[in-house]
Amino acid sequence: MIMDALFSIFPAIYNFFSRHKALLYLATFVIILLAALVLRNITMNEDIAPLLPDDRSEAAKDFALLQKTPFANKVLINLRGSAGTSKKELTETADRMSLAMTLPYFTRAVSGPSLPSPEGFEAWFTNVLPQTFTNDDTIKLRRTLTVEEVRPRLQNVYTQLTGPEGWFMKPLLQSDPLDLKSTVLAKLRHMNVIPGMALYDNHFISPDGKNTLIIAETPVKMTDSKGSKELAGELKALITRLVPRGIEASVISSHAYTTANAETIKKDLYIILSSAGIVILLLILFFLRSWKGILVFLVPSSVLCLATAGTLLIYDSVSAVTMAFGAVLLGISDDYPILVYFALCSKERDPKAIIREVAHPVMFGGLTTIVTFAVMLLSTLPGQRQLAVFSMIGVAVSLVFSLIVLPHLLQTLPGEKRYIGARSPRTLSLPRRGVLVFWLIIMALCLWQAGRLNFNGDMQSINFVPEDLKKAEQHLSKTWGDFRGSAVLFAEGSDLESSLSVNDSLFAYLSEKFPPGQIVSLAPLLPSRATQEANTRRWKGFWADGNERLARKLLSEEGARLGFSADAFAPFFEMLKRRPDPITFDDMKTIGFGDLMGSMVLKNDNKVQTLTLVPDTQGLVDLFEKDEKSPKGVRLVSQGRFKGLIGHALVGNFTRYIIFALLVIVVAVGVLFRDLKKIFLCLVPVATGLIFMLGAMGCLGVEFNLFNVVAAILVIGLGVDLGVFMVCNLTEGYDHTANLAILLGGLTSFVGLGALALAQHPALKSIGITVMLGLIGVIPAALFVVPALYRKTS
Amino acid sequence: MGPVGSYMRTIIAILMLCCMLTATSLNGAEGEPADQPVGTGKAGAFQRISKAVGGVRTISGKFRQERRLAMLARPVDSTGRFYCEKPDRLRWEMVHPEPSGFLVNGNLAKQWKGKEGPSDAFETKQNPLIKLIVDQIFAWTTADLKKLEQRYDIKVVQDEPIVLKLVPRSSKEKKYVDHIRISFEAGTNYVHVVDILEKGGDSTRIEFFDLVINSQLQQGLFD
Repeated sequence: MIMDALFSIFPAIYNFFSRHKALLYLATFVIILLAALVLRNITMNEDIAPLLPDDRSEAAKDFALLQKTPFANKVLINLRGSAGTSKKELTETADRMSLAMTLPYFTRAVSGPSLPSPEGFEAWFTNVLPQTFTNDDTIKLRRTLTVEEVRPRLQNVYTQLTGPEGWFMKPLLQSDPLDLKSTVLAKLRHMNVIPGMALYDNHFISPDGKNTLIIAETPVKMTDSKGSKELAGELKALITRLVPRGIEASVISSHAYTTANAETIKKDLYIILSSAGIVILLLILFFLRSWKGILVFLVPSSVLCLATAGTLLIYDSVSAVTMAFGAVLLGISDDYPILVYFALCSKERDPKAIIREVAHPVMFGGLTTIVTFAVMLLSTLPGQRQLAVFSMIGVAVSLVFSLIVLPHLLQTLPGEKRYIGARSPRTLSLPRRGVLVFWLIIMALCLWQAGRLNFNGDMQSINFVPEDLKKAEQHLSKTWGDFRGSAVLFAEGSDLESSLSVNDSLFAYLSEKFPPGQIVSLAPLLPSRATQEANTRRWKGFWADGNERLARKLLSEEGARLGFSADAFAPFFEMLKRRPDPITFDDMKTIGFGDLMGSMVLKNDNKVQTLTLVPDTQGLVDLFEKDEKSPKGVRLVSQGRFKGLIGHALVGNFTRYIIFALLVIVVAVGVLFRDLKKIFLCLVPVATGLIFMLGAMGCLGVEFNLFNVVAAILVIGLGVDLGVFMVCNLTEGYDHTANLAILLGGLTSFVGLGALALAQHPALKSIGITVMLGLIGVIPAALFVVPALYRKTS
Repeated sequence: MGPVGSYMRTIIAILMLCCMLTATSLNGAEGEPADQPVGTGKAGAFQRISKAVGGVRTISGKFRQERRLAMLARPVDSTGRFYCEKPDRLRWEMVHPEPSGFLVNGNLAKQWKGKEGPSDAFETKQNPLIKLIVDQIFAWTTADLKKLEQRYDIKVVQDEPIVLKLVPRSSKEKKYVDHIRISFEAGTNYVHVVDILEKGGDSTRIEFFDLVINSQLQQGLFD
């Protein structure tokens, strides 16, 4: 009853506007004009951010932390020399470049490490020996206190002392005859963030001497596509001006990805929207054979405008991916005006009655599609939620235009409403049994192949990576080590001390699992205060335990043998008695580790995080996910783990989509038809489309990624649309024009999605290909399987 | 390079200084500026130095070094060779008792011990101190005595033959060096001895001999 009342509104509205056509046209014109005015201030957003979860999930937290890693927001410029390029030329070019990299695009650019000043270091070496004295150091030092070890060390002291450097090394040689400073020097290797780095004239240089590196900080956010483009332009100009022939400069930064993706999406948008628009118009004109086909095409075109404007009223900006989806919306939203056009082709009947009849399939199809899209509002990805809003507005507008505005335009304006095959109507009828057997075989094959389907959580798979950027990344990783791909461990505490304490436990834990050269950590040289005190106690205990006496004996006897005076090493024994000052964060900055401290210790309002870098391996991920002994208060953030988390989120999203969407359409179709048989028939194209899509993807090796999971929704939406049309048609009188309407509707949807498949951007392309596969199942199922099943059941 | 690099730079600066003073005296000995009347006192000594430095491109020779250190029971004698080319190239080789040495070429340096070849180049301008030293090298090679006086308090201890006493002004250098004394040989104006007196009483004496000026130095000496 409610449904009947709902559908009777449309003839009434038709009746009303038959008398007030001017009002209808004026209102339509004003609405479109207002939408155009809103679109004048359109801000398109090409960021990757809408493609990432924004909830409180692990993936969202990990992504936020990934932005804080040392190289996340830095611009790296690798200068590669040719065969004849000298190190000097390379480093001079790097200096010219880094000097020219200034505001507003760069806050700082360095071509070499900020090394500790030697003057500060000298005192520091001696000062930090006790506070950094570990158990391992105890074992090594005990081995040192033998004649075999002390003799060559003192010989070395003698050589240095009598050489020119002895003039100035004398104080250090006196206070450290046993070369204990080498234990501190060994700990410095844990501070080397770039594993493949060598030094030449205080510049980063690759071991083969053919590459140098510039590391720059920029105020431009990596998600700012406009800023990133300007930054890329500035760098290109600087490279053209300052880098001579024979030296190749390559830029690697998140900004380069942002720019490449933004540019590609913009190009794609142009191709997708224009090609989809033209082909859909041509298809409509081909099938409709009347200029009035243009009126039909105007509905989806206006829908595009209004859906974008409506989205902009809700959001500050519209995602480029959403805009690209406009092509799909063109293809989906023209189904309703096409159905109305074909219905109104009948001259014998009263248009009001036709409107009443056609309102059934149009509203049924439209409403079920809207509720299906509404499922996407549950997504954790803001881009998908925006897509849902955009599509729901679009379908709603198309319903209103198709049932209220279009009938008047078609009826009032001069010209005939023709269509292909109108003069010799033929119904394409296939043998029922054959159709059903073929359908069942295909479904069985697809279900079998669907088992091979993969969910890929790798962000790179939906990122557009140009070939030159890919090569530059590979070259950077090969030359300097994969420092950008390291896993980062965040040792978290309420203050610096508690964070360093967690960091100590973490370093101790990792030292058992990784070779020392693979761990970048502050723990060996900046342990927590408690660890420093424990180390100092160990140091004092070591010397009190008879080792000072042993050292005196060895230095005295071996020294005398080489010609050293009796009290030559008195400063060494004075140093052993001294109570050292604790090593502080500020000390580390003062002696020259400022950059490293800034990158490795992150201070927020209420917490401090100390970072540790290790190679990103599955073994590491397993350790922190499965090993109960792994230190508490540490969070692992790695591309590998992130990929896994996104993969899990994907499976979750996909399952949620399918369950909710199926539930929603079963309820919607149930409310609309209240007939089990009709409900079942409506769902046949949906099920066929989904199973075919999954099977074909499994067979062809097409993976589900972060974005093409929406394909499931689209296939369900389009499938139920065509299912409803066909069921309405079959139950309310079989007519070949309805078949044509369904075929044309299906083809235009196919074209809209096919246009997405033309995209260069992997996210858009993957949606296009995936839904096209689904539609290959949906359209024949609606046209042939539903009628075959209907005939069988009836 | 750590602290060793820092010491090396100061050593290099002092040795460059010695070399160029030696060159100065040799020019004087060759008689080019001798026909000109020269003043006495600090101004006169400086005038003679300034006149001589202009003509020197390269210098090489031998040295004998004696170190007296509280750390060692007996003084240590050593001998070696050196090569210097204006404005900023120096090779200093210890031959006896243990071969060792270093070279500097612009802002890069190398060192070696025993029979090992030179190490990889390390940079000599990592910090402001290095900049200061490089400035000093240029000051001596161009006879920029104003700059030298900024670093050392220079006194003429004896006018003929010239004996200069250089006292470091910077606190960093004062930590190691009390003063440097440069003695010229009577009549020939030949820099015969350089004494470096350290804090705490240790000292080093370097005597130069067999000097050759403006000869073509063997290629690769500074690489």
